[in-house]
Amino acid sequence: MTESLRERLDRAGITLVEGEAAPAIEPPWFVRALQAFSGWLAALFLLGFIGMGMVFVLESSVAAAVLGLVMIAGAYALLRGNGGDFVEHLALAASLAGQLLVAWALAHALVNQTAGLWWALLLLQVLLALVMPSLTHRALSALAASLALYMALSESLSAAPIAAGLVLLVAVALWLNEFRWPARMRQCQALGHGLLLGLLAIQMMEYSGQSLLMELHQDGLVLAWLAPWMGDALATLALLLLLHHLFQRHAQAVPLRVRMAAYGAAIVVMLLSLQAHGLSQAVVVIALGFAIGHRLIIALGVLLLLLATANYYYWLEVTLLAKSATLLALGVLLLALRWGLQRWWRRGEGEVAP
Amino acid sequence: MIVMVTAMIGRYFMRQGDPGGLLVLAMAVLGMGAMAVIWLKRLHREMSA
Repeated sequence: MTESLRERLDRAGITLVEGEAAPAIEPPWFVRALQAFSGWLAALFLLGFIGMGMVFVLESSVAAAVLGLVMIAGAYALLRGNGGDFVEHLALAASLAGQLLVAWALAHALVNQTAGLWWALLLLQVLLALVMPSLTHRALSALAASLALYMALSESLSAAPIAAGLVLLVAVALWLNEFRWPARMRQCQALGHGLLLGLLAIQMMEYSGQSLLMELHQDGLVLAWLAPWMGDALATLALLLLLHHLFQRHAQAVPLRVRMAAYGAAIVVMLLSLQAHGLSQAVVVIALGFAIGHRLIIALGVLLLLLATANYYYWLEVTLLAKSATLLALGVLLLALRWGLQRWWRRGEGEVAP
Repeated sequence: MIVMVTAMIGRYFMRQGDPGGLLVLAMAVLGMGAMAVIWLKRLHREMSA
């Protein structure tokens, strides 16, 4: 531990036990982002090398699957060894190239069963997210699993919007329980980051209107028709779970009136989401970021909110007048909520304080 | 810088059309990425101290 930190701790009245091991400094998010970027780039080059130099591997799905699994197993062994940054990079690239080879083999084997392919890829990514001994790899696998779930639901049930709600629900559950298992806290956080990035990617795919041949699957199923509302209902469930968790944690500090107001606000957000899909997901992520004091999650939530608002604005099925009226009502309601909550919070604090 | 150096190496090797060039590119990206990570980690450690 550095001298300056020891002095600061001494000044703060924290005594250190002699011989205590120095705490490890975790790599910041931008280092992980750089690792992921170079890992992906190297994986693409490796795959290009395999594609150009070892064509026979790609021609046989069995050979591609075997080579892919061997590369993933090799990456697992390298990551378990904890051999430093270069080895971690090499393992990440090998694993990504191996996953692409396995996906290639699965695509050949399940050529007429697209839904089966995406479910198989989801299983593979969930497995990798749970077992791979690297935080970056876990986050990337969680992101890939989110996208695979989106595609699997789209292809099999024509219910892609449910994926966003499910991913959000799992992410909220993870972030609320990150301190439950202290030994696995970093792994939970990596999975949580990956899932929230996956949610952003899913929403961007939904909003861009390129839901990957979604129009072909609009076959009139009730589930397909209900899917957007089911996604928002799952997001509301996540919001209620978050509120319940917070009120349990701060049972004495939050008066009953404030709790009722919060639950009422959750219902209002749900009602607004029936018209502007994706709004509830953004509100949940922002509330989660505030609840756990995570600025990156708050920023992600703001980005989701902007995307949802922009998507609603460009929704062509509603007239500009209706859009303007709804946005006006939303703005007035939110301002009124802010004013009301500020008054109630202050009054509530005055009652609680002795 | 990583992208620029990779593009320069790629331009040289891709002219020859040799698949081994892609392997060299992958190794170059891994090496430069690892060096950048080591540097950034050291910087972060100094700033956190």
